[in-house]
Order: sequence, then structure tokens, then C-alpha cells
Amino acid sequence: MKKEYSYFKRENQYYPLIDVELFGPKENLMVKALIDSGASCSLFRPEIANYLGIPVNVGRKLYFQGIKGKIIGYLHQITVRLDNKKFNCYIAFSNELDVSFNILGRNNFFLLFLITFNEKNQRILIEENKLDKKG
Amino acid sequence: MKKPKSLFAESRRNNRVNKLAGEWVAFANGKMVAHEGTLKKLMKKVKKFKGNQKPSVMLMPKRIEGNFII
Repeated sequence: MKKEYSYFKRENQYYPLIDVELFGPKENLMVKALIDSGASCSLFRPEIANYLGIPVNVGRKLYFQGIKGKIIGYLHQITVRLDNKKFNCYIAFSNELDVSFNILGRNNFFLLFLITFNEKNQRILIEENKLDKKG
Repeated sequence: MKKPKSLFAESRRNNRVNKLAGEWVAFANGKMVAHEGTLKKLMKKVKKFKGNQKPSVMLMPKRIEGNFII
């Protein structure tokens, strides 16, 4: 899989947002998520978990440190589809998240894909990462 | 002085986007197809949408969120 996406424009800012489909026990949902290489983990809005039928607080409790402070999130393993590639992804949901964007962080989304940010042309290239065998 | 047409269109688009701040918005083929105050209400509308692409949803950031450093 290899695909190029345009950045999403809001006011005069461009954001590397991509569409991913999440599969929950009750519903599936296509959402826009920000690719954030600075985030160690993916963090999504709690409304999305509710819609999918995932009880937020049932997941593994984690603390997330941001610039503003610490928030509590709950980690879940969710089936995600990007283009034609389906995979399991660790996504945390937090009722304390005061950022509107859903964030796709490094663990484990960045392990599965090679991601190139073309800031000059406001485009992002995502290709499937062929896992190397070490040793 | 008259504003250039492209800047005018840009400013109109920005105003539209600003009005949607804090709302759940659905996009298909790069265009907005629905918006609502809650995700649940939005999905009721989105399910009726007949298009060749499945709409994707997001919560439109509020203006106070400013630039992102996450």
C-alpha cells in the first residue's frame, strides 16, 4: 500500500489529517485523524469510543503528559483500516482531552507505515512498512 | 480598494469553517456533507448520505485552540 494525502486546510493552517476507519463492537466509523510524530501513543476523542460501542474506562489506564499538563486516558486495541490495509492499533480515549483533533501517534501506527511529511507541498506519503528481520 | 476574487473566496470559506468550530463535521470527496452539534446526530444524517465515498468525520477545532503543539 502506498498513498499520498493532501493536508487538511483550516483557516490559514494546514494539518496532516488522514481518514481511518475504526471498527467497534456496535458501529464502524470513518474519522479524520492528525498524524503526530511527537505523540508516543494515539489518542482519540471519547465521543468516538461511545459511538463505536467501546466503554472508555474499561481499557488500560494511562497518564498522558502534554504541554498543559497531565490527563488520564484508557488504552484499547481496535481494528483500524487505512485505505485497503486493516490492522490492530492501540488507541487511547480520554474524557479529559481538550483538543478537537484525534491524534495518531507512534505506538503502534508508525511501526506499520513509513510516513513522509512533504511540508512544502502540504502532502503526506504513507506506505506500508515492510518489517525487517533483525540479526 | 477591491479585494482580489481569490482572497474574497478564501475569506468566505474561512468564515464558513469558523462557524463550524466546536461542531462535528462530515466530509466526502473533500467537501463538507453534513454538520451537527453531536457525533450521534451527525451520524444519523451521514447514514442517509448517498455518495461513492464513505464520509469521514471530525470535531472542528474551536478558534481558542489556536495553533497546535501537541
